[in-house]
Amino acid sequence: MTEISRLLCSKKRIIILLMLAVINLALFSGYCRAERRDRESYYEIMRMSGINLQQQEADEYEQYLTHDYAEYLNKMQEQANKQALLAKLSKKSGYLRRNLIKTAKDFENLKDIQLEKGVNHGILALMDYDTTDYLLFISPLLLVLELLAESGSAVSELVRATKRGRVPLCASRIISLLVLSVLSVLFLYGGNLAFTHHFYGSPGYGRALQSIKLFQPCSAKICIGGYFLLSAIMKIAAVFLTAMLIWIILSKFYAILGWLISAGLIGAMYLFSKFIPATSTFNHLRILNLFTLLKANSFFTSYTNLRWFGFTSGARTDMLITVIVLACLLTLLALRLIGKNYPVKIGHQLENIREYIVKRLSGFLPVRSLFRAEGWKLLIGQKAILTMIVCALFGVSIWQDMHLYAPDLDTQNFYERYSGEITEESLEKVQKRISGESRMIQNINKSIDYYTNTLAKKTEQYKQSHSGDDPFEVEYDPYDPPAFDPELNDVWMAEVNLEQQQYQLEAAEMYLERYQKVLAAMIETAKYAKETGRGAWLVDDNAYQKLFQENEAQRRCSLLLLLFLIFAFSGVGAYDNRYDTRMLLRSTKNGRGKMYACKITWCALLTAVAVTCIFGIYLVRLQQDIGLPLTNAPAQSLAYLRWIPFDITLGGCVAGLFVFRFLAAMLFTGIILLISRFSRTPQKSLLLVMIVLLLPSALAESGISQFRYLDVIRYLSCCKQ
Amino acid sequence: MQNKLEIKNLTMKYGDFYALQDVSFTLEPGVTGLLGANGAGKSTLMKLMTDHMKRTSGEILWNGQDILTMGSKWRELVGYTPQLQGIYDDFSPKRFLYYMGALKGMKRKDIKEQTEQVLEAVNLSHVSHKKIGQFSGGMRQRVLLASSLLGKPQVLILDEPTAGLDPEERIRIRNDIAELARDCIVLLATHVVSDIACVAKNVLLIRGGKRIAFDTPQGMLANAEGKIGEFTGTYEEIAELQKQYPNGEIAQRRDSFVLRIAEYPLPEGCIPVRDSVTLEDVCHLYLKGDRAYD
Repeated sequence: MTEISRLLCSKKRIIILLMLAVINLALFSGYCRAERRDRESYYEIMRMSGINLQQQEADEYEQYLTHDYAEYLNKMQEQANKQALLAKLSKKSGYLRRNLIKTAKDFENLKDIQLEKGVNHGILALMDYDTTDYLLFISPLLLVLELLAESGSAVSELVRATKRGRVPLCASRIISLLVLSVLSVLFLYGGNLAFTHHFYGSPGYGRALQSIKLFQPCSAKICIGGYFLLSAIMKIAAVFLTAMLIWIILSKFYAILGWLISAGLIGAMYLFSKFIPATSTFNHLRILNLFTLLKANSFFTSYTNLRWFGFTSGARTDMLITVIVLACLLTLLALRLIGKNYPVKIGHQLENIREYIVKRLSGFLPVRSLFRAEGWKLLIGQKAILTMIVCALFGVSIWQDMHLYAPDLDTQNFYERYSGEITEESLEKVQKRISGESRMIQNINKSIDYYTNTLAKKTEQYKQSHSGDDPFEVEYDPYDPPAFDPELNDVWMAEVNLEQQQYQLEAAEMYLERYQKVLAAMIETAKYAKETGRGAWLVDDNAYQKLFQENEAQRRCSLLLLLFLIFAFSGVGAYDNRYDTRMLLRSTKNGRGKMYACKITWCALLTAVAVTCIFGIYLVRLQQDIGLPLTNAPAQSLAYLRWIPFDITLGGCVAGLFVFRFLAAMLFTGIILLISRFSRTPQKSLLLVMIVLLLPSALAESGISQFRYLDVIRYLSCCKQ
Repeated sequence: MQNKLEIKNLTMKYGDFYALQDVSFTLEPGVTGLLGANGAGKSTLMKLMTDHMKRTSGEILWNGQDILTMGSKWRELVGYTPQLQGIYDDFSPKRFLYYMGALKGMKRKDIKEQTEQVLEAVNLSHVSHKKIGQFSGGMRQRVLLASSLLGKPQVLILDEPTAGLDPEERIRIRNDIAELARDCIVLLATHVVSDIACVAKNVLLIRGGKRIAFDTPQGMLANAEGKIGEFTGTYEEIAELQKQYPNGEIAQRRDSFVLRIAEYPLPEGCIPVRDSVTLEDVCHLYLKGDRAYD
């Protein structure tokens, strides 16, 4: 118990867990807001093209609940029965028949479930958001690293020389790891769940899981609440087993070899889970996999059976057995190898190879300048390179998740034709276009009148020749069409034409309204140009809005930048504060001003690289997906940039934005270095920096407006919020 | 003209507590041993001499010039080994020495040359590429010592440089220090009194932040004459006597036991020791209690 409370109740551990929970919640809440905003803007775009997507989705959902799911179950049953009979008659292999029988049996249990309508967006957001799954590992892995550091220290010799210092101690540590995994999932995943409840509304925990279309293939008879519980248990198992695996491997192998083996195993599992197709013979490796267990969704969004020597069994059952077996195996292994056996490490040959290589290379790459030595300390000693790699991986994830919608083709064509310097000529051209649209609307109205009359006439004709039958009650089955009736055909054609004209009218009215707005904006801009003596252009500001106004992707980039600065630099000063190192360094000629100048220069360089790469990603995506037109146009062409009191182009503004971001990032780097300088250890420095810089931003992100002015992300993203 | 480091009325005060009070002495080329109990002010003195802390009052003069006005020029002259082993575990000795050479403002050619020399001097050439994190305490101490020797310093400030070293290594390092001290001022703080006895030109005794004595080892030994005595008897008798003289040292000689004490005047029954007085006895005499050195 003493060991468990020592490991779990330490201030550091509690603070880290709470910090992670707050940060995770902030990220997730930002994601949900962005998801809702993107969804609504997508609906808006589709509405402008004449499609009411929201209504369509609602109708499809209703259809699914009332009809499609029942039909799916029936078809499943029929198919399974047919195939089973065929297999029996043709004396096909036992596995095939067993699989079909099992499938039919599994889905037969679902016949009497009641599907209910409810709010599904929250669950879908939870399932799509995978950052939390990676954050779950942080606390347990930090504990593992702490245990490994202790095992190399003198205190370990002391502890192992006591009565309960081996197997019982190891057992306590295993329990601590398990409890920490539970707490991680509770705080992080639980936090997400609580947020979706608050943001989207209750999903209806008692509803059958299959009420959500995504879970249609699920054969488990559980409710939504049950799904969350099972998901949480699976995530706990995944985190615990991974942490145990890494702990055992790194305890028994020398550093490089241990990390290589761990990375190899985990990397292999990741590849199996991503790239092995479901129909492959190696499907077992894809299903019975810690990554698949972590995601948990695939056990509920698909129906999978696994083949074991001709016998069939469900993937969920197999996973449960695997988890139990693995947990027992790893526990026994840990107790034996870490608890009972002598602490001997394997793989010293690799260490010898590393030393040999370093010895050979040192002749070519001597680090005799202070600047390069400080760079080595930062990049290798304090693992800033590792931080850069991890941030780069997250950057790729942000890149892939960016939703930058280009405007519809018609708008693009409009701007292509009319954007540029606003002159009398260009105003006239737009006015002409508007007149053209108005004339087109008039023509469409005339067509509508014509087709309305034609439809009425043809309907009357049909009724007269078909004993008063209503042509709109004739059902049309494309697989069993009725005999060709020219009068019926005329009615349908008139109806189709009428509908088409109505759609066209809707679209034309929408475009007319838009062009009128653009014209009004052009006139207003021309007036401003005349008053101020600055040039004014018509510019498609879709991309510039995303750059200078509010945008979720930029905030995510800013968060990534902030995390990089924190993790890369918070140890810079504290690294030298341990023992008497600082005293030793300060006793030398260059150990004060020049040494700090080198440190600051390196931090500035890395900050510049980070700003360029992270926001460069965003700019490149913007250019690719939407395009940044007319960068030579005066910035004041856009209304929200008219506060700039001097002449500058839009391109200049974009460059200025980068410069401002760099300066803001440098300011925060300075704060981090200052905190680090006065912190006793790198860990304390990291905690303090997170509290000072990250926590206020996370609180502002989660909606607490009082922290708005302390929101570092807001300043780095330079977005209006 | 010989180099001279003068400490004049040096005081370091934390609130009402004096870590150092009005300490004065002068160092010239050669080894000066610094002896004192834990918390006496040895490390404080060394930190003030390396300008790591701001003194409350007093002066530290290098050839007449205060080190505060010299700035980095003073630190160019200094080689320092701290008490705690503050080095980076993921550095190799070679990389660490290159780094320290760069910090000392040495030329690159000199860094390479001197690194090889000092690694050889401290017997670490064969592990120059291994990570310091794998070293024993003694090996780490040798790395620190090597770093203090880089740049051919004129003032060496060594805080427990032989801690954790085996007897053979200690002798070797002692001899190296003695060799260096011919042209260099060396201030050597240690609890291993025999290190000082062998090589020191002068010994500085500090107690409670104050200078108690600054004399040659021979002078101190002469001063201690008649103040070191021994009681002889059975174990029970000696154990009983020790209750009266708890700082005394018990030793066994053939069939009897001996309690060696440092007192002035010596009590009745205590036989004065004449030939085998050591610096350790001097420490017993002056570093505990409040006896003045006369």
